[in-house]
Amino acid sequence: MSKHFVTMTVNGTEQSLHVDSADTLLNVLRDRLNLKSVKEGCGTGDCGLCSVLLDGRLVNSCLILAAQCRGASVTTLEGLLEDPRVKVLQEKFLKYNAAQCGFCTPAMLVAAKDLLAKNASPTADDIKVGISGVLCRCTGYYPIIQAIEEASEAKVQ
Amino acid sequence: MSEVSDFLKAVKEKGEEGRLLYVGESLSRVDGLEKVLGKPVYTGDMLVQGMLHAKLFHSSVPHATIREIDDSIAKGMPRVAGVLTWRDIPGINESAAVLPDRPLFSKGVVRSTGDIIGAAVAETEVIAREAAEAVKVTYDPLPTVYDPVEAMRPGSVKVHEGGNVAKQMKIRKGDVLKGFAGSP
Repeated sequence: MSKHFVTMTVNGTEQSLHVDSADTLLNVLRDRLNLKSVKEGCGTGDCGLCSVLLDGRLVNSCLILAAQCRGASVTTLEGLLEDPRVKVLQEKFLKYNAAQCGFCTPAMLVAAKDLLAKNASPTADDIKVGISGVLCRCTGYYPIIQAIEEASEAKVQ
Repeated sequence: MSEVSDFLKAVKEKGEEGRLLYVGESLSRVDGLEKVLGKPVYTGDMLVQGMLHAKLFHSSVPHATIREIDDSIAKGMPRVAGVLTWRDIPGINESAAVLPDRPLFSKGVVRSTGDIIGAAVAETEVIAREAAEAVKVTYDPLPTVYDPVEAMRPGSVKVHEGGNVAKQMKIRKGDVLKGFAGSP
């Protein structure tokens, strides 16, 4: 496998690394940069647990090759911990027990943050669509939707 | 000791208000904060220096006897530590939770698509997957049944030697008809 030299910005810090052609963004984030909030549920783009923001777009990092990310800006939950909107989301996730096993929680929070950035006052249906790319197998979606709804602009302020 | 007395005190105080300590109360998870911060370490998050990676290989057919498991190519691949099948389990080859009817690694027969036949172990996950895919399993197909109701009928294909019904329980409590009649 050939090596590629890639420079990308991850959570605000510039990272330069040699990656293999087959390395996914997910592998690089988890195994090279130790960003373990990004989970691998399926590795085939079905579960969305590896969701991150790539140049502001919500993507499944298992479907993105690391070599494609030259010059890109990548944000994981670790890079959003100081984001005021994310803090409100976390608070509401706690309040509604929207994190049971916690495995989908980082991806849910990144998807919710992306949704609220685009639509500050989403309806319950908007929220369902917004998080539809992330599968939860234990908490159940209801508390997650409630938490996001209450974290939206219509409810905060 | 103090934890126990704190607990008893809390039970008593709530009891005086006519409430229970936990039942009917909205409680926060003790590990909730960690979880919304993305901090908990799951098994898959652990990397240990020198650790090996395993990938399972599964039955591709719903019901069959296993004629042969050929792992010679997989075992010969560079950086592959080995291939495990039922032969490598020295103790009880069992992974079921209720009845002892599901071997960890299939021996002789597979009863569903996805039954685990074995595991390939290698230095990296990618190599382990390639090795798992290189294992060739040949089957002699057996008749199949896909419907649970059908599977319960006496003449059905036997997925399990002793029959397909795992357990039968009879619960008789109260008078259902009377209950329905009296319900609003």
